[in-house]
Amino acid sequence: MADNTLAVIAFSCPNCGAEIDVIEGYTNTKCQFCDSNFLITKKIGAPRIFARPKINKPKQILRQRFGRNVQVIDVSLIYVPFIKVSSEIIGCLGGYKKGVVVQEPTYNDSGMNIDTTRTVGGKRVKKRIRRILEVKLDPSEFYRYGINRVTTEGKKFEVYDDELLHRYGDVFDLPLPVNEYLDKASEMLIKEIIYDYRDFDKFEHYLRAIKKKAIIYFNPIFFSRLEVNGDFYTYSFDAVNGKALVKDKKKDKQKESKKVFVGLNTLYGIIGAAGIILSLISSSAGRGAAFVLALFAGFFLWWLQYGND
Amino acid sequence: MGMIDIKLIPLRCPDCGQDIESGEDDLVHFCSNCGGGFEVIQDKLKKVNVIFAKPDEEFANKRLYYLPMWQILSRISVKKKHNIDVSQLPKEILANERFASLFSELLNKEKPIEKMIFFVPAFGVTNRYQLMDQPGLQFTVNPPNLESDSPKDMVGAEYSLADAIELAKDMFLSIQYQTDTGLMGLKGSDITFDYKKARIAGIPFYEEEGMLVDGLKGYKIFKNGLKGWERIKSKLEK
Repeated sequence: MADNTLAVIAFSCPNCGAEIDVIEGYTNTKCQFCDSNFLITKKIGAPRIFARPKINKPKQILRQRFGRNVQVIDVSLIYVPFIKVSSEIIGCLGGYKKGVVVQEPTYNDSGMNIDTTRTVGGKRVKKRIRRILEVKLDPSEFYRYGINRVTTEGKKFEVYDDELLHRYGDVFDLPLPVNEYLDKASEMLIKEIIYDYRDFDKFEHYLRAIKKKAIIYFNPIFFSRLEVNGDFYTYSFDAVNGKALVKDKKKDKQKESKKVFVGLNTLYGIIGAAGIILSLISSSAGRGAAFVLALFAGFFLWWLQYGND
Repeated sequence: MGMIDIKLIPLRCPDCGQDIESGEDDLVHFCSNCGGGFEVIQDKLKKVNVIFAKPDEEFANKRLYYLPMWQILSRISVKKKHNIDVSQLPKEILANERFASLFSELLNKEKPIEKMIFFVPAFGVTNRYQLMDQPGLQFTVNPPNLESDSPKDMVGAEYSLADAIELAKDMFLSIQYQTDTGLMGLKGSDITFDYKKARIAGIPFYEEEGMLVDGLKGYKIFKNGLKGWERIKSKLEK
Protein backbone atom coordinates (compact mmCIF):
# COMPACT_ATOMS: atom_id res chain seq x y z
CA MET A 1 0.00 0.00 0.00
CA ALA A 2 1.31 3.44 -0.89
CA ASP A 3 2.38 5.68 2.01
CA ASN A 4 0.13 8.78 1.82
CA THR A 5 2.78 11.01 3.40
CA LEU A 6 4.91 10.64 0.28
CA ALA A 7 4.77 13.18 -2.51
CA VAL A 8 3.59 12.38 -6.01
CA ILE A 9 5.55 13.49 -9.08
CA ALA A 10 3.69 13.93 -12.34
CA PHE A 11 5.32 12.86 -15.62
CA SER A 12 3.94 12.51 -19.09
CA CYS A 13 4.42 9.13 -20.78
CA PRO A 14 7.04 9.38 -23.58
CA ASN A 15 5.15 6.66 -25.42
CA CYS A 16 1.46 7.70 -25.34
CA GLY A 17 1.49 11.11 -23.59
CA ALA A 18 -0.76 10.04 -20.69
CA GLU A 19 0.01 11.39 -17.22
CA ILE A 20 2.05 9.05 -15.04
CA ASP A 21 2.02 9.72 -11.30
CA VAL A 22 5.15 8.43 -9.59
CA ILE A 23 5.63 8.22 -5.82
CA GLU A 24 8.76 10.08 -4.68
CA GLY A 25 11.95 8.03 -4.52
CA TYR A 26 10.93 5.41 -7.08
CA THR A 27 13.53 4.44 -9.65
CA ASN A 28 11.17 2.81 -12.19
CA THR A 29 7.59 3.33 -13.30
CA LYS A 30 4.91 2.00 -15.61
CA CYS A 31 2.32 3.79 -17.75
CA GLN A 32 -1.15 2.56 -16.75
CA PHE A 33 -2.50 3.38 -20.23
CA CYS A 34 -0.01 1.81 -22.64
CA ASP A 35 1.69 -0.61 -20.17
CA SER A 36 5.19 0.66 -21.07
CA ASN A 37 7.89 0.35 -18.41
CA PHE A 38 10.40 3.12 -17.80
CA LEU A 39 13.60 3.87 -15.92
CA ILE A 40 13.61 7.22 -14.12
CA THR A 41 16.96 8.88 -14.78
CA LYS A 42 18.48 11.69 -12.75
CA LYS A 43 21.03 14.06 -14.23
CA ILE A 44 22.52 15.51 -11.03
CA GLY A 45 22.50 12.46 -8.76
CA ALA A 46 19.24 13.41 -7.08
CA PRO A 47 15.93 14.36 -8.69
CA ARG A 48 14.76 17.94 -8.27
CA ILE A 49 11.02 18.50 -8.16
CA PHE A 50 8.77 21.49 -7.57
CA ALA A 51 5.17 22.23 -6.65
CA ARG A 52 3.13 24.98 -8.30
CA PRO A 53 1.66 27.63 -5.97
CA LYS A 54 -2.11 27.26 -5.48
CA ILE A 55 -2.72 30.47 -3.55
CA ASN A 56 -3.14 33.45 -5.87
CA LYS A 57 -4.16 36.14 -3.41
CA PRO A 58 -1.71 36.06 -0.48
CA LYS A 59 -2.89 39.45 0.88
CA GLN A 60 -6.39 38.05 1.29
CA ILE A 61 -4.99 35.19 3.40
CA LEU A 62 -3.04 37.67 5.52
CA ARG A 63 -6.20 39.76 6.14
CA GLN A 64 -8.12 36.62 7.12
CA ARG A 65 -5.44 35.67 9.62
CA PHE A 66 -4.48 39.08 11.05
CA GLY A 67 -7.74 41.02 10.68
CA ARG A 68 -8.60 44.17 8.76
CA ASN A 69 -6.05 46.31 10.64
CA VAL A 70 -3.15 44.52 9.01
CA GLN A 71 -0.83 46.67 6.91
CA VAL A 72 1.03 44.47 4.40
CA ILE A 73 4.42 46.14 3.90
CA ASP A 74 5.48 43.60 1.28
CA VAL A 75 4.82 39.98 0.28
CA SER A 76 6.85 37.89 -2.14
CA LEU A 77 6.90 34.31 -3.41
CA ILE A 78 10.16 32.41 -2.89
CA TYR A 79 11.19 28.87 -3.81
CA VAL A 80 13.45 27.48 -1.08
CA PRO A 81 14.76 23.91 -1.44
CA PHE A 82 14.82 21.15 1.13
CA ILE A 83 16.22 17.62 0.77
CA LYS A 84 14.88 14.31 1.98
CA VAL A 85 17.61 11.67 2.31
CA SER A 86 16.96 8.01 3.02
CA SER A 87 19.66 5.47 3.67
CA GLU A 88 20.35 2.09 5.18
CA ILE A 89 22.78 2.14 8.09
CA ILE A 90 24.79 -1.04 8.51
CA GLY A 91 27.59 -2.18 10.80
CA CYS A 92 28.35 -3.11 14.38
CA LEU A 93 28.40 -1.32 17.71
CA GLY A 94 29.30 -2.31 21.22
CA GLY A 95 30.13 -1.16 24.70
CA TYR A 96 29.30 -1.65 28.33
CA LYS A 97 25.83 -0.80 29.53
CA LYS A 98 26.17 1.14 32.75
CA GLY A 99 24.85 -0.63 35.79
CA VAL A 100 23.20 0.93 38.84
CA VAL A 101 25.38 1.25 41.93
CA VAL A 102 23.53 -0.05 45.01
CA GLN A 103 24.60 0.06 48.65
CA GLU A 104 24.33 -3.19 50.54
CA PRO A 105 24.70 -3.63 54.30
CA THR A 106 27.07 -6.49 55.03
CA TYR A 107 28.43 -7.65 58.38
CA ASN A 108 31.93 -8.68 59.26
CA ASP A 109 32.87 -11.55 61.62
CA SER A 110 32.37 -9.41 64.69
CA GLY A 111 28.88 -8.47 63.53
CA MET A 112 29.79 -4.90 62.56
CA ASN A 113 27.84 -3.30 59.75
CA ILE A 114 30.08 -2.41 56.77
CA ASP A 115 28.38 -0.66 53.88
CA THR A 116 29.59 -1.98 50.53
CA THR A 117 28.57 -1.01 47.02
CA ARG A 118 27.75 -3.31 44.13
CA THR A 119 26.98 -2.55 40.48
CA VAL A 120 23.77 -4.17 39.29
CA GLY A 121 22.68 -4.66 35.70
CA GLY A 122 25.89 -3.60 33.89
CA LYS A 123 26.75 -5.84 30.94
CA ARG A 124 28.64 -5.94 27.68
CA VAL A 125 26.56 -5.29 24.59
CA LYS A 126 27.52 -6.19 21.00
CA LYS A 127 25.07 -5.54 18.22
CA ARG A 128 24.83 -5.82 14.48
CA ILE A 129 22.92 -2.87 13.02
CA ARG A 130 20.90 -2.76 9.82
CA ARG A 131 18.28 -0.03 9.77
CA ILE A 132 16.55 2.03 7.07
CA LEU A 133 16.20 5.68 8.12
CA GLU A 134 15.22 9.05 6.66
CA VAL A 135 16.14 12.66 7.43
CA LYS A 136 15.02 16.06 6.12
CA LEU A 137 17.66 18.76 5.55
CA ASP A 138 17.30 22.49 5.07
CA PRO A 139 20.30 23.18 2.83
CA SER A 140 19.62 26.90 2.66
CA GLU A 141 19.67 27.24 6.45
CA PHE A 142 17.13 30.04 5.97
CA TYR A 143 15.38 29.05 9.16
CA ARG A 144 13.39 32.27 9.18
CA TYR A 145 11.28 30.91 6.29
CA GLY A 146 10.23 27.85 8.32
CA ILE A 147 11.30 25.28 5.70
CA ASN A 148 11.46 22.57 8.34
CA ARG A 149 7.67 22.88 8.75
CA VAL A 150 6.87 22.35 5.06
CA THR A 151 5.12 19.04 4.42
CA THR A 152 4.78 17.13 1.14
CA GLU A 153 1.56 15.33 2.04
CA GLY A 154 -1.19 15.63 -0.55
CA LYS A 155 0.88 17.79 -2.92
CA LYS A 156 1.59 17.08 -6.52
CA PHE A 157 5.13 17.79 -7.66
CA GLU A 158 6.57 18.13 -11.15
CA VAL A 159 10.02 17.73 -12.62
CA TYR A 160 12.13 20.82 -11.89
CA ASP A 161 12.00 23.42 -14.64
CA ASP A 162 14.24 26.41 -13.92
CA GLU A 163 12.52 28.79 -16.33
CA LEU A 164 9.05 27.98 -15.04
CA LEU A 165 10.06 28.41 -11.41
CA HIS A 166 11.53 31.85 -12.05
CA ARG A 167 8.22 32.90 -13.57
CA TYR A 168 6.56 32.35 -10.19
CA GLY A 169 9.19 34.00 -7.99
CA ASP A 170 12.73 34.00 -6.69
CA VAL A 171 14.52 30.66 -6.49
CA PHE A 172 17.29 29.77 -4.03
CA ASP A 173 19.54 27.07 -5.42
CA LEU A 174 21.52 24.53 -3.42
CA PRO A 175 24.69 26.18 -2.10
CA LEU A 176 26.64 22.85 -2.08
CA PRO A 177 26.85 19.77 -4.35
CA VAL A 178 24.30 17.02 -3.62
CA ASN A 179 26.98 14.57 -2.43
CA GLU A 180 27.87 16.85 0.47
CA TYR A 181 24.26 16.74 1.68
CA LEU A 182 24.24 12.95 1.32
CA ASP A 183 27.36 12.77 3.53
CA LYS A 184 25.90 15.20 6.04
CA ALA A 185 22.64 13.22 6.18
CA SER A 186 24.53 9.92 6.63
CA GLU A 187 26.39 11.42 9.60
CA MET A 188 23.09 12.58 11.10
CA LEU A 189 21.48 9.16 10.70
CA ILE A 190 24.47 7.40 12.29
CA LYS A 191 24.32 9.90 15.18
CA GLU A 192 20.61 9.12 15.55
CA ILE A 193 21.46 5.44 16.09
CA ILE A 194 24.37 5.96 18.47
CA TYR A 195 22.35 8.46 20.54
CA ASP A 196 20.52 5.47 22.08
CA TYR A 197 23.86 4.27 23.47
CA ARG A 198 25.06 7.63 24.86
CA ASP A 199 25.28 6.28 28.42
CA PHE A 200 27.46 3.33 27.48
CA ASP A 201 31.04 2.99 28.67
CA LYS A 202 33.82 2.21 26.19
CA PHE A 203 31.32 2.65 23.37
CA GLU A 204 32.63 1.89 19.88
CA HIS A 205 30.96 1.62 16.51
CA TYR A 206 31.65 0.93 12.87
CA LEU A 207 28.54 2.15 11.07
CA ARG A 208 28.25 3.04 7.38
CA ALA A 209 25.48 4.29 5.12
CA ILE A 210 24.54 2.40 1.96
CA LYS A 211 21.68 2.85 -0.54
CA LYS A 212 21.76 6.61 -0.10
CA LYS A 213 18.90 8.31 -1.90
CA ALA A 214 17.99 11.98 -2.00
CA ILE A 215 15.14 14.06 -3.43
CA ILE A 216 15.34 17.83 -3.67
CA TYR A 217 11.99 19.60 -3.21
CA PHE A 218 11.33 23.16 -4.27
CA ASN A 219 8.26 24.31 -2.40
CA PRO A 220 6.84 27.83 -2.92
CA ILE A 221 6.57 30.03 0.17
CA PHE A 222 4.99 33.43 0.64
CA PHE A 223 7.22 35.59 2.79
CA SER A 224 5.63 38.79 4.11
CA ARG A 225 6.36 41.77 6.37
CA LEU A 226 3.38 43.18 8.23
CA GLU A 227 2.29 45.85 10.68
CA VAL A 228 -0.61 44.98 12.99
CA ASN A 229 -1.77 47.59 15.55
CA GLY A 230 1.66 49.20 15.63
CA ASP A 231 3.54 45.90 15.97
CA PHE A 232 5.79 44.59 13.20
CA TYR A 233 5.86 40.95 12.08
CA THR A 234 7.50 38.70 9.50
CA TYR A 235 5.15 35.93 8.46
CA SER A 236 5.65 33.08 6.02
CA PHE A 237 3.19 30.48 4.77
CA ASP A 238 3.11 27.61 2.30
CA ALA A 239 1.93 28.83 -1.12
CA VAL A 240 0.43 25.41 -1.94
CA ASN A 241 -1.69 24.55 1.10
CA GLY A 242 -1.59 27.83 3.04
CA LYS A 243 -0.03 26.28 6.15
CA ALA A 244 1.54 28.91 8.45
CA LEU A 245 5.30 28.36 8.73
CA VAL A 246 6.83 31.21 10.75
CA LYS A 247 5.32 34.18 12.61
CA ASP A 248 7.98 36.37 14.12
CA LYS A 249 7.30 39.60 16.01
CA LYS A 250 9.90 42.28 15.40
CA LYS A 251 11.05 44.56 18.22
CA ASP A 252 9.97 48.17 17.72
CA LYS A 253 13.35 49.91 17.82
CA GLN A 254 11.83 53.40 17.56
CA LYS A 255 9.73 52.87 20.70
CA GLU A 256 12.63 51.41 22.63
CA SER A 257 15.02 54.22 21.84
CA LYS A 258 12.33 56.72 22.85
CA LYS A 259 11.97 55.07 26.27
CA VAL A 260 15.72 55.28 26.90
CA PHE A 261 15.75 58.92 25.78
CA VAL A 262 13.08 59.84 28.43
CA GLY A 263 14.99 57.91 31.04
CA LEU A 264 18.20 59.69 30.22
CA ASN A 265 16.50 63.10 30.47
CA THR A 266 15.37 62.31 34.00
CA LEU A 267 18.84 61.19 34.88
CA TYR A 268 20.55 64.21 33.40
CA GLY A 269 18.17 66.29 35.57
CA ILE A 270 19.28 64.44 38.70
CA ILE A 271 22.98 64.75 37.84
CA GLY A 272 22.46 68.45 37.16
CA ALA A 273 20.71 68.92 40.51
CA ALA A 274 23.55 67.08 42.25
CA GLY A 275 26.05 69.45 40.62
CA ILE A 276 24.13 72.51 41.76
CA ILE A 277 23.94 71.24 45.35
CA LEU A 278 27.67 70.51 45.24
CA SER A 279 28.46 74.08 44.12
CA LEU A 280 26.20 75.64 46.81
CA ILE A 281 27.42 73.62 49.77
CA SER A 282 31.07 74.21 50.52
CA SER A 283 31.44 72.08 53.63
CA SER A 284 33.01 68.62 53.27
CA ALA A 285 29.82 67.06 54.72
CA GLY A 286 27.81 68.68 51.90
CA ARG A 287 30.26 67.42 49.24
CA GLY A 288 29.92 63.91 50.67
CA ALA A 289 26.12 64.05 50.41
CA ALA A 290 26.37 65.32 46.82
CA PHE A 291 28.83 62.52 45.97
CA VAL A 292 26.39 59.88 47.33
CA LEU A 293 23.59 61.51 45.34
CA ALA A 294 25.72 61.35 42.16
CA LEU A 295 26.47 57.65 42.81
CA PHE A 296 22.75 57.01 43.19
CA ALA A 297 22.16 58.84 39.91
CA GLY A 298 24.76 56.61 38.20
CA PHE A 299 23.04 53.50 39.47
CA PHE A 300 19.67 54.88 38.32
CA LEU A 301 21.10 55.44 34.84
CA TRP A 302 22.31 51.84 34.69
CA TRP A 303 18.93 50.56 35.94
CA LEU A 304 17.01 52.54 33.33
CA GLN A 305 18.99 51.05 30.50
CA TYR A 306 19.57 47.48 31.64
CA GLY A 307 17.42 46.93 34.72
CA ASN A 308 14.47 45.42 32.83
CA ASP A 309 16.73 42.99 30.95
CA MET B 1 12.72 25.50 -22.50
CA GLY B 2 14.13 25.20 -18.99
CA MET B 3 16.59 22.61 -17.83
CA ILE B 4 14.87 19.29 -17.09
CA ASP B 5 16.91 16.87 -15.00
CA ILE B 6 14.67 13.79 -14.71
CA LYS B 7 13.76 11.72 -17.74
CA LEU B 8 11.86 8.52 -18.40
CA ILE B 9 13.65 6.05 -20.65
CA PRO B 10 12.03 2.80 -21.89
CA LEU B 11 12.97 -0.30 -19.90
CA ARG B 12 13.60 -3.02 -22.47
CA CYS B 13 15.88 -6.03 -22.45
CA PRO B 14 19.06 -5.05 -24.37
CA ASP B 15 19.43 -8.71 -25.45
CA CYS B 16 15.96 -9.68 -26.72
CA GLY B 17 14.06 -6.36 -26.82
CA GLN B 18 11.29 -7.54 -24.49
CA ASP B 19 9.68 -4.96 -22.17
CA ILE B 20 10.94 -5.55 -18.62
CA GLU B 21 8.35 -5.49 -15.87
CA SER B 22 10.05 -4.08 -12.82
CA GLY B 23 9.47 -3.03 -9.21
CA GLU B 24 9.54 0.68 -8.34
CA ASP B 25 12.84 0.51 -6.45
CA ASP B 26 14.67 -2.12 -8.48
CA LEU B 27 18.27 -1.49 -9.44
CA VAL B 28 18.82 -4.84 -11.16
CA HIS B 29 16.19 -5.98 -13.67
CA PHE B 30 15.51 -9.45 -14.97
CA CYS B 31 14.04 -10.24 -18.36
CA SER B 32 11.21 -12.75 -18.06
CA ASN B 33 11.74 -13.76 -21.69
CA CYS B 34 15.46 -14.59 -21.92
CA GLY B 35 16.36 -14.60 -18.21
CA GLY B 36 19.05 -11.91 -18.64
CA GLY B 37 19.92 -9.65 -15.72
CA PHE B 38 20.81 -5.97 -16.03
CA GLU B 39 22.09 -3.57 -13.41
CA VAL B 40 21.41 0.14 -13.80
CA ILE B 41 24.72 1.99 -13.61
CA GLN B 42 24.63 5.72 -14.40
CA ASP B 43 21.31 5.35 -16.21
CA LYS B 44 22.63 2.54 -18.44
CA LEU B 45 21.86 -1.18 -18.31
CA LYS B 46 24.93 -3.31 -17.64
CA LYS B 47 24.63 -7.09 -18.02
CA VAL B 48 25.10 -9.29 -14.94
CA ASN B 49 25.42 -13.09 -14.86
CA VAL B 50 22.32 -14.82 -13.57
CA ILE B 51 21.79 -18.42 -12.50
CA PHE B 52 18.40 -19.85 -11.54
CA ALA B 53 18.88 -22.53 -8.89
CA LYS B 54 17.05 -25.82 -9.31
CA PRO B 55 15.00 -26.58 -6.18
CA ASP B 56 15.49 -29.72 -4.15
CA GLU B 57 13.23 -32.47 -5.45
CA GLU B 58 11.09 -32.54 -2.30
CA PHE B 59 10.09 -28.88 -2.89
CA ALA B 60 9.66 -29.10 -6.66
CA ASN B 61 5.87 -29.60 -6.48
CA LYS B 62 5.34 -26.41 -4.43
CA ARG B 63 4.45 -22.98 -5.83
CA LEU B 64 7.92 -21.41 -6.04
CA TYR B 65 8.88 -17.75 -6.10
CA TYR B 66 12.40 -16.76 -7.13
CA LEU B 67 14.26 -14.19 -5.03
CA PRO B 68 17.62 -12.78 -6.17
CA MET B 69 20.80 -13.05 -4.09
CA TRP B 70 24.22 -11.69 -4.98
CA GLN B 71 26.88 -14.39 -4.90
CA ILE B 72 30.19 -12.56 -4.42
CA LEU B 73 33.64 -14.05 -4.66
CA SER B 74 36.07 -11.97 -2.66
CA ARG B 75 39.72 -12.30 -1.63
CA ILE B 76 40.27 -11.31 1.97
CA SER B 77 43.71 -10.44 3.30
CA VAL B 78 44.65 -9.50 6.84
CA LYS B 79 47.91 -7.61 7.34
CA LYS B 80 48.73 -8.70 10.86
CA LYS B 81 47.99 -11.59 13.16
CA HIS B 82 45.11 -11.18 15.58
CA ASN B 83 44.14 -13.39 18.44
CA ILE B 84 40.47 -13.97 17.92
CA ASP B 85 38.99 -16.76 19.98
CA VAL B 86 37.10 -18.47 17.17
CA SER B 87 35.69 -21.07 19.59
CA GLN B 88 33.35 -18.33 20.85
CA LEU B 89 31.54 -18.06 17.49
CA PRO B 90 27.88 -19.13 17.43
CA LYS B 91 27.27 -22.88 17.28
CA GLU B 92 25.68 -22.76 13.83
CA ILE B 93 28.89 -21.26 12.42
CA LEU B 94 31.19 -23.66 14.29
CA ALA B 95 29.04 -26.56 13.02
CA ASN B 96 30.58 -25.99 9.60
CA GLU B 97 34.21 -27.02 10.06
CA ARG B 98 35.38 -25.70 6.72
CA PHE B 99 34.00 -22.23 7.40
CA ALA B 100 35.23 -22.13 11.02
CA SER B 101 38.77 -23.09 10.01
CA LEU B 102 38.75 -20.53 7.19
CA PHE B 103 37.79 -17.89 9.72
CA SER B 104 40.40 -19.04 12.19
CA GLU B 105 43.15 -18.93 9.56
CA LEU B 106 42.19 -15.47 8.39
CA LEU B 107 42.24 -13.91 11.83
CA ASN B 108 44.91 -15.86 13.66
CA LYS B 109 47.69 -16.41 11.11
CA GLU B 110 50.49 -14.20 9.82
CA LYS B 111 49.41 -12.25 6.67
CA PRO B 112 46.81 -14.74 5.40
CA ILE B 113 44.92 -14.40 2.10
CA GLU B 114 41.81 -16.47 1.59
CA LYS B 115 38.98 -16.58 -0.92
CA MET B 116 35.43 -16.45 0.41
CA ILE B 117 32.05 -16.63 -1.30
CA PHE B 118 29.32 -14.48 0.22
CA PHE B 119 25.59 -14.73 -0.40
CA VAL B 120 23.87 -11.35 0.02
CA PRO B 121 20.10 -10.98 -0.45
CA ALA B 122 19.46 -8.52 -3.27
CA PHE B 123 15.67 -8.25 -2.79
CA GLY B 124 14.20 -5.28 -0.92
CA VAL B 125 13.94 -5.71 2.83
CA THR B 126 12.20 -3.91 5.68
CA ASN B 127 13.52 -3.01 9.14
CA ARG B 128 11.94 -6.30 10.28
CA TYR B 129 14.59 -8.16 8.27
CA GLN B 130 17.36 -7.79 10.85
CA LEU B 131 15.31 -9.67 13.43
CA MET B 132 15.04 -12.85 11.43
CA ASP B 133 16.95 -15.91 10.45
CA GLN B 134 19.18 -14.57 7.70
CA PRO B 135 19.38 -16.79 4.64
CA GLY B 136 22.35 -14.75 3.33
CA LEU B 137 24.48 -15.62 6.35
CA GLN B 138 23.25 -19.22 6.39
CA PHE B 139 24.13 -19.70 2.71
CA THR B 140 27.55 -18.10 3.24
CA VAL B 141 28.32 -20.51 6.08
CA ASN B 142 26.75 -23.56 4.38
CA PRO B 143 26.81 -22.85 0.62
CA PRO B 144 24.09 -24.65 -1.33
CA ASN B 145 24.93 -26.67 -4.39
CA LEU B 146 23.55 -24.48 -7.16
CA GLU B 147 22.32 -26.52 -10.10
CA SER B 148 21.29 -24.36 -13.05
CA ASP B 149 17.63 -24.33 -14.05
CA SER B 150 15.74 -22.70 -16.93
CA PRO B 151 14.98 -18.91 -16.63
CA LYS B 152 12.07 -18.00 -14.34
CA ASP B 153 10.15 -14.86 -13.42
CA MET B 154 12.10 -13.29 -10.59
CA VAL B 155 11.64 -10.43 -8.13
CA GLY B 156 13.86 -7.47 -9.12
CA ALA B 157 16.93 -6.64 -7.04
CA GLU B 158 17.02 -3.45 -4.96
CA TYR B 159 20.68 -3.75 -3.95
CA SER B 160 23.37 -2.83 -6.41
CA LEU B 161 26.60 -4.83 -6.54
CA ALA B 162 28.41 -1.96 -4.74
CA ASP B 163 25.88 -2.11 -1.86
CA ALA B 164 26.09 -5.92 -1.78
CA ILE B 165 29.90 -5.78 -1.43
CA GLU B 166 29.47 -3.48 1.60
CA LEU B 167 26.93 -5.91 3.07
CA ALA B 168 29.33 -8.82 2.50
CA LYS B 169 32.10 -6.97 4.39
CA ASP B 170 29.62 -6.24 7.13
CA MET B 171 28.71 -9.92 7.34
CA PHE B 172 32.35 -10.95 7.73
CA LEU B 173 33.10 -8.30 10.35
CA SER B 174 29.97 -8.94 12.38
CA ILE B 175 30.64 -12.71 12.61
CA GLN B 176 34.04 -12.27 14.29
CA TYR B 177 32.89 -9.27 16.35
CA GLN B 178 30.63 -11.58 18.33
CA THR B 179 33.66 -13.07 20.11
CA ASP B 180 35.13 -11.42 23.24
CA THR B 181 38.28 -10.45 21.34
CA GLY B 182 36.44 -9.56 18.10
CA LEU B 183 37.66 -6.60 16.05
CA MET B 184 35.58 -3.48 15.56
CA GLY B 185 35.50 -2.40 11.92
CA LEU B 186 38.44 -2.72 9.57
CA LYS B 187 40.98 -1.64 12.24
CA GLY B 188 42.77 0.99 10.16
CA SER B 189 42.38 -0.91 6.87
CA ASP B 190 44.15 -3.89 8.37
CA ILE B 191 41.56 -6.14 6.65
CA THR B 192 41.25 -5.82 2.87
CA PHE B 193 38.33 -7.09 0.81
CA ASP B 194 39.29 -7.53 -2.79
CA TYR B 195 36.18 -8.14 -4.88
CA LYS B 196 36.81 -10.64 -7.69
CA LYS B 197 33.54 -11.51 -9.40
CA ALA B 198 29.82 -11.72 -8.76
CA ARG B 199 26.62 -13.07 -10.15
CA ILE B 200 22.96 -13.14 -9.20
CA ALA B 201 21.56 -16.44 -7.99
CA GLY B 202 17.79 -16.86 -8.28
CA ILE B 203 16.85 -18.83 -5.16
CA PRO B 204 13.46 -20.62 -5.12
CA PHE B 205 11.25 -19.98 -2.06
CA TYR B 206 7.80 -21.27 -1.13
CA GLU B 207 5.23 -19.94 1.36
CA GLU B 208 4.58 -21.65 4.66
CA GLU B 209 2.70 -20.20 7.65
CA GLY B 210 3.71 -16.55 7.35
CA MET B 211 7.21 -17.45 6.28
CA LEU B 212 9.07 -17.90 3.03
CA VAL B 213 11.14 -21.06 3.04
CA ASP B 214 13.99 -21.59 0.59
CA GLY B 215 13.76 -24.63 -1.65
CA LEU B 216 17.46 -25.55 -1.30
CA LYS B 217 18.28 -25.75 2.40
CA GLY B 218 14.98 -24.89 4.08
CA TYR B 219 16.06 -21.57 5.68
CA LYS B 220 13.24 -19.17 6.52
CA ILE B 221 12.40 -15.48 6.11
CA PHE B 222 9.47 -13.64 7.71
CA LYS B 223 7.21 -12.49 4.88
CA ASN B 224 7.06 -8.98 6.36
CA GLY B 225 10.85 -8.85 6.30
CA LEU B 226 10.51 -8.53 2.53
CA LYS B 227 9.49 -5.15 1.17
CA GLY B 228 5.99 -5.28 -0.39
CA TRP B 229 5.80 -9.07 -0.51
CA GLU B 230 2.05 -9.31 -1.25
CA ARG B 231 2.39 -6.91 -4.20
CA ILE B 232 5.43 -8.77 -5.54
CA LYS B 233 3.64 -12.08 -5.14
CA SER B 234 0.57 -11.00 -7.10
CA LYS B 235 2.84 -9.66 -9.85
CA LEU B 236 4.75 -12.95 -10.06
CA GLU B 237 1.53 -14.96 -10.15
CA LYS B 238 0.16 -13.10 -13.18
